[in-house]
Amino acid sequence: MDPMRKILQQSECHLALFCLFLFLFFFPVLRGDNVHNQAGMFAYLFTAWGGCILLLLVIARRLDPSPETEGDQAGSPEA
Amino acid sequence: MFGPGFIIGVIFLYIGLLFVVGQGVERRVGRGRHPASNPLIYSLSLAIYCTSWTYYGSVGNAATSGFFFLTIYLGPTLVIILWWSVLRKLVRLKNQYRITSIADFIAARYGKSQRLAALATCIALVGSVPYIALQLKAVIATFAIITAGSNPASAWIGGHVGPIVVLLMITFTIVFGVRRLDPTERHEGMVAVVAVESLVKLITFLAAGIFVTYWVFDGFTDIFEHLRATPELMVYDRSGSIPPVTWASHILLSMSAILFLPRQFHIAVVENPEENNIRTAMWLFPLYMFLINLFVYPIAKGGLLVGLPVGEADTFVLRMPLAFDQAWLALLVFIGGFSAATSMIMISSMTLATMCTNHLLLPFVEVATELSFLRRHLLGARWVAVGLVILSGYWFEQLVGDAYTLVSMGIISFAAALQFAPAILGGIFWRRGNKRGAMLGLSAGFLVWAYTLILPSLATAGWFPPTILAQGPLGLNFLIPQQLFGLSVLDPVTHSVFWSLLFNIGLYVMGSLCGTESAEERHTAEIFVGSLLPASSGDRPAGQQERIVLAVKRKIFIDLLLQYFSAGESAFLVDRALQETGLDGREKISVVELADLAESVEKGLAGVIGSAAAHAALKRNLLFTPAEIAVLQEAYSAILASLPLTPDELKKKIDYYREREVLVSSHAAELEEKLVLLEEQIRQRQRSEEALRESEERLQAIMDNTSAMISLKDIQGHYILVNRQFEKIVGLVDREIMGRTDTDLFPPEVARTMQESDRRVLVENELLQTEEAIPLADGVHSYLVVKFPLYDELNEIYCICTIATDITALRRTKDQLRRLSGSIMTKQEQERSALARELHDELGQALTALRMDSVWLRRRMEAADAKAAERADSMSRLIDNTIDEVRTMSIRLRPSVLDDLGLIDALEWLAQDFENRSETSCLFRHGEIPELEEKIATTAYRITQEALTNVARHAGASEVRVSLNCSDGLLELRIRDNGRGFDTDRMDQVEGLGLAGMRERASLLGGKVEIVSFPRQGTEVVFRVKVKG
Repeated sequence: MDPMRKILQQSECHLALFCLFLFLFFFPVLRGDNVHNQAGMFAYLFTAWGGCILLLLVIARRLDPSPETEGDQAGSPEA
Repeated sequence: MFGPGFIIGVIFLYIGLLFVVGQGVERRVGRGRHPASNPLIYSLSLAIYCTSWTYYGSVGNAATSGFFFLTIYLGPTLVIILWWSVLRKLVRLKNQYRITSIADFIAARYGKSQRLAALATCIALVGSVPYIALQLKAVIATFAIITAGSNPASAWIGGHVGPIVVLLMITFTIVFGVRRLDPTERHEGMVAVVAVESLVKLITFLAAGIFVTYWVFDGFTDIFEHLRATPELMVYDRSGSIPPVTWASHILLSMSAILFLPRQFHIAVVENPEENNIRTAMWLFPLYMFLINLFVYPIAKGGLLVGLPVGEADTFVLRMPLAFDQAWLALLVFIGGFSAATSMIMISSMTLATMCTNHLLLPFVEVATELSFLRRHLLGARWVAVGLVILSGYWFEQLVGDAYTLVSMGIISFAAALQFAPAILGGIFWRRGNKRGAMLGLSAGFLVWAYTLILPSLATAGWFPPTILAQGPLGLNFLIPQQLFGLSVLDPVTHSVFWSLLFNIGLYVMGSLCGTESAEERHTAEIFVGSLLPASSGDRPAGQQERIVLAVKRKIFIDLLLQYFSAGESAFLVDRALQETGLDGREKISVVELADLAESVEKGLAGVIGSAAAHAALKRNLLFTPAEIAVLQEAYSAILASLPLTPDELKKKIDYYREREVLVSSHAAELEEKLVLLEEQIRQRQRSEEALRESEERLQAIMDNTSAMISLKDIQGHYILVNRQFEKIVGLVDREIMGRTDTDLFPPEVARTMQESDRRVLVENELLQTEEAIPLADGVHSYLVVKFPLYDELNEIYCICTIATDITALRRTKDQLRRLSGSIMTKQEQERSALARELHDELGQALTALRMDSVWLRRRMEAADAKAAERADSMSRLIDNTIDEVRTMSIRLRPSVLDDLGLIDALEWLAQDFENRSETSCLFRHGEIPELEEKIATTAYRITQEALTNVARHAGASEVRVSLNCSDGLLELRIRDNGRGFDTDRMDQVEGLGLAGMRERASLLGGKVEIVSFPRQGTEVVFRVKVKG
């Protein structure tokens, strides 16, 4: 198996990325200068957000599909 | 501007289109297809999260708080990376337990407790009302804006927008979501409608955003430059004053809301048929939120820049097109906003109605038996519940709508949903979490939430004296709702989040650690916590007698379900359970099978009335007789008793399986590496096969050109391979021989011999060398046959190989040689005999005469010449010695005693002679011996003579025993010494001892000579031959 795929499937890796996202989204607030440079803040937040989405896309594509589940698509009695 | 009637008409048209979409999907579902089950629809339906709050409220929030509005969307983006571990678990458990709502999930986890389900329903209900109010407020407000200044003839409609919208919403919800009772609580048509509405609101919002950013202004840069140029607008931006803890609390709220708001749980879990949909939603849903929020800030700031009042910021998205005379764009925006509100109200009220009927009404009906008829009117009850829920939202909107912004109303609901987080997350990750803990935590969290957020809202609306907010109830300052226990540094929402979570988590943990769980609850906890582990087959009680009449139990089940369904529906559900459990068509079943059937029926019923109510309903009915209960308990007790596990061991086992899952993953990686190795091995194998093919060709060439017959037979005696020589001998070609046996190819006697030798090879499992005679056209041919077994990869014999070499010519030559040898030996004996006679008779007599003369001469000379007499005496002694020598030579050449007295006397003489001439004692014994042919006697004598000579020369023995016996016509001669012996395996190295001569003599008579010897243990020579008499 591709080593990167193996890493990206582990829940510990997801937790680490969660912490990374948390830091990314808290960083401007912790710096406290978000009032004076709205354009910069806007660019930073949406760039970070876009980066997270890209990373999520990469991870989602590397997750092994879940085995076929029972589902609940059984027929139902029509009232 | 549009008139109210026109707008109402547009709304109806839009709803009609959605109805067509929903019906189309439902029809496809009826045909067994599931168009709404794909990941795209699932991801879009999750966007129900983006309601009027997002559509209108975020713009208002951005106008006054800058980027603070983003916390509500960054939270879900953050937490979504954990969905593969969390949401997947929830979906799997939903499928397993046929969960119908968030309250049902909590009840299912904690002992199917109806009280807990009722509490969760109350929290969901109270918590959702402000959110529904928010949607209604948005629709009513935007309706008023888009119809402002229209024809006064439509004034009545304008004055009754609220009731009209409420009526529309109730109808819309019933038509799409509660049209029928569904045992799965899945509504694919409704989900498709929600997805379409999500798409509509995204497109219309983007249209509004692009209009403001690129039509009103010249792009993002232009807006930010204008903002820099008008610093007075920064007065409205409080984002700089928002403390990080508030930012964190809102992110936390949105993280929990994305899953634990009742409508989100319903869409994400209950309506999700396939776990793999989550993989797509993990990136597509954040992308949706990204896009819908991209223009929020530009619209908010753009509205302020063009001079719209900040108090109306919630509706900037609609006002901006109107301000620039873009009425049709405004209409589109209104439709988008309407979509955002209706989808939220529809799903929320539907799921709340389900919860209310399942977890409030049905338990109440169980107590108030006079209302039991309501069980048969669940659908009607749900319609009423939908109406009540939406009306409650309208009432709340009328009550506090003017005092709160959209965002403030929404965040109250978020804080209520947060109260579910400890019980749900604890339930799927912590085995010790139990019903008592969940009940205490939820109750405390809910009460603190209501006290710190709802009470201030009602006080603001005038329902409570305003002093309560300033001084606390009864003047108790430490109980001021928004400064509980003196905590005054936090904003009201963060304050409520802090205290409610503290009480909720604290009491959940304390209650769980202090309380004890029932066995059923422990079992459920194991299933919930380990739901992502591979399922085990589990032990089932076996050997139960089938004594229960199925028809009787079926009727009990149907009677039970008749309390909720029609006769046809009840029979359908019971028959489906029978099919699921494999009991369909049986007459009698065992008590364990009855338990399985009951579980299946309970699951089916749970899909309609929830797991807790279904469990209670099954327990209430006398499905099991006391005797059946006793048998069932006995069966399961037997299983428990037979389990060789303590609880600790069981836990270790679970841990072991977890580790094994990790190992399996790493093993999969190793397997991938091994695949590469395997490919290399395949290439090597191909090369080996090529070499093998060449080798086989060489072998075939050798086989075909050898003069020996070579064949392979399977263990049943069928030929599977022969060479050309074989074909030539039997006169058939290869394909005619294959599969045939010896009986088919050779005369019966020959075939029997061959089969016998084959059998010996199979039995003795080793190489066999033999001679076989095969009659051919030119006479009988002798073959030296070598047979040996061949083994397969399991070391089992699979065939016999035969190599037969024609030795007919060799045999003839050997026979001739043997005859010649016999003739030579006979002649030799005759010559020896003649020579012995000559020596004895002629030379002996001459010497005797000579001696007599010498004696006479000595006597005559004694007187005359003493010296001459002495010489004559010496001559006389010399002649005596010579006579003795000649006699001995004669005897050795051919003892006359052999011819005169027979073998026994000859051997006695030989033994005595041997003893005299050597220092070795020689003992001869014999039994009764018949008269022997001369050839046999001679051979026995010569063999004894040769053996004794070997003893004297090589053995170094002190004793030799010679025995001669005859029994059953078999003469046996044994010569045994106690000398140094030798290794018979090295016989070829000692053939010079005359052993070959002995054998040759014996074989000429048809006898055999055997030599038995071991180092330091002496040697024995045995000669056996058949004799007459």
